[in-house]
Amino acid sequence: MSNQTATVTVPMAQQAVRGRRRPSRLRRLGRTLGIQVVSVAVFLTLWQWVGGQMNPILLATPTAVMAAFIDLVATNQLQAAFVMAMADLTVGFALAIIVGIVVGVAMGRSRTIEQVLNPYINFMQATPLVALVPLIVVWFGIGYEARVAVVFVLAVWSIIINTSTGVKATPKILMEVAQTYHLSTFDQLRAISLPSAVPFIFSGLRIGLGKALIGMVIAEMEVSVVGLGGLLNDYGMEFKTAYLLAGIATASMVGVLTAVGLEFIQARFFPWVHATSSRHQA
Amino acid sequence: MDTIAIRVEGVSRQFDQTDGQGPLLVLDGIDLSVSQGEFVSLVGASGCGKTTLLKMMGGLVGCEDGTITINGRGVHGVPDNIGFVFQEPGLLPWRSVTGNVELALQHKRLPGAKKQEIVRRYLEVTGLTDFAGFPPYRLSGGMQQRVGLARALAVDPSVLLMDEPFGALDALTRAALQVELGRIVESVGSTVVFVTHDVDEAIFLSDKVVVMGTRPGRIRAIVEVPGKRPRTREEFASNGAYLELRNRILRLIEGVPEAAA
Repeated sequence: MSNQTATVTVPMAQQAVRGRRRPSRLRRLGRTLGIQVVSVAVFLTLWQWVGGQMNPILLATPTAVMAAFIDLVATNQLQAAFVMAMADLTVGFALAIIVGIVVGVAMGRSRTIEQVLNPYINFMQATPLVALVPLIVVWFGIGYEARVAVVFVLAVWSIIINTSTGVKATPKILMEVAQTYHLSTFDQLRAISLPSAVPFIFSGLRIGLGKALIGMVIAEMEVSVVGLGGLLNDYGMEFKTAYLLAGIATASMVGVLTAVGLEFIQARFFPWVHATSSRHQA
Repeated sequence: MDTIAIRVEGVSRQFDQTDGQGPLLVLDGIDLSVSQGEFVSLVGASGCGKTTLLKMMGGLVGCEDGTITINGRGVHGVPDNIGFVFQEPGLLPWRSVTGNVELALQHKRLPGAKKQEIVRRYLEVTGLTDFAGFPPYRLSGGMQQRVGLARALAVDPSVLLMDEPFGALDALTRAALQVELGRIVESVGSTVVFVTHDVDEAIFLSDKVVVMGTRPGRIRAIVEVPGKRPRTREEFASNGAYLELRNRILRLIEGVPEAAA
């Protein structure tokens, strides 16, 4: 099945141009996929067999995890946890994006602002940010605001740093073009520096998203026991390992889905990033 | 008699060296004047300061010693109504060809329809009409340079400054663009200063070739090119005077004194 999906995604033009080489490419792709499918199948079989020999508290079998997953869906627990997790994640991450880009741009444009803020940014980068969770609880309590704050605090620094690097890395030639055509400071930023920083900003978003996911789970375990983190916490405490693993798989799915969403946004709205990445500048 | 478009008087320029060897004199006592409507090329070996001189005329590099005036006004910062074509195209990959040309008009207070009309006109002049909606990275190097030229022309420049615009192109594209540039400049009638290290290109396009020497950059000679612009390939190839001129300029670049030639 996966083999078929792959053929469909090869663009028509590419097929025509590479017509002669197509079979070997396809065969290589098919081989890769085949190896991966076999790998997963072998792993699941081994797991099923090993899990069957062990105490189910230590390791649940894949079939037990699947049954737990179905039960969680049937009782609506998983959907509720998922929705709550997404609410924490998206709001915290969205705030981190806004603040991260605004501060990053300011630092990239102004040497003074950069010098003023750099010590704090470096300090926060060096701090294991999870250590701030108790402080955030002191400031924001144990509700939604606190969970959003944890996600925000974990994600924002990478976005700031990457944005500021990207703005500073605006090619000199483009700055000369801006100067030649008398662009105002604002237009220079809007039309040149900011778009030119987009590839850097997206690397910052990718790193920040990874940290935001950690923040989300930590917050839902440590700030208030709710959502996906809460689900993991509860079933862990009850030694219901099959349910715990089903929850972990769901958390992974949240990570995969949001990462794919980010790639989709880049491909949809900034197609030139991919097109120019090998040659850098047109 | 002729109106002077660009006047360069006693311009010197030094750059600080990073290794603490003291400043390096890049340009030394340059005097040059370019008449309205004239096409002047600056040629010389790498490092003779021709690009620096051009960027000083365009206000992109500050002028500390001496004065440069364009249309009678001193150059401090980028003057109004100049177009600059860079060595690299310098296009924005996130904008279409049209959007890139529009960038030149962004700071001008003109109605949108008027801007669109200007952009359309110069896309046509540079043969880009069919590529208006393309992103720059889908175009060949020659096409990209055409966009850079269209962008420069869009400001209706009284002076067009060009910094080795065809330097990175293959020989065939280059030859084709030289002919086309000659035609375009003739039709818009602007004054052009053109930096190149290709002597044939300089002679083919110019009224006057300024030969510069290296370290420090000084003007070795200013050579008038006979015949009217725009020239055709045929007359350029068949007229022996151009070949003679080419040899003379090459000797000047190498530093052989004129009398010995």
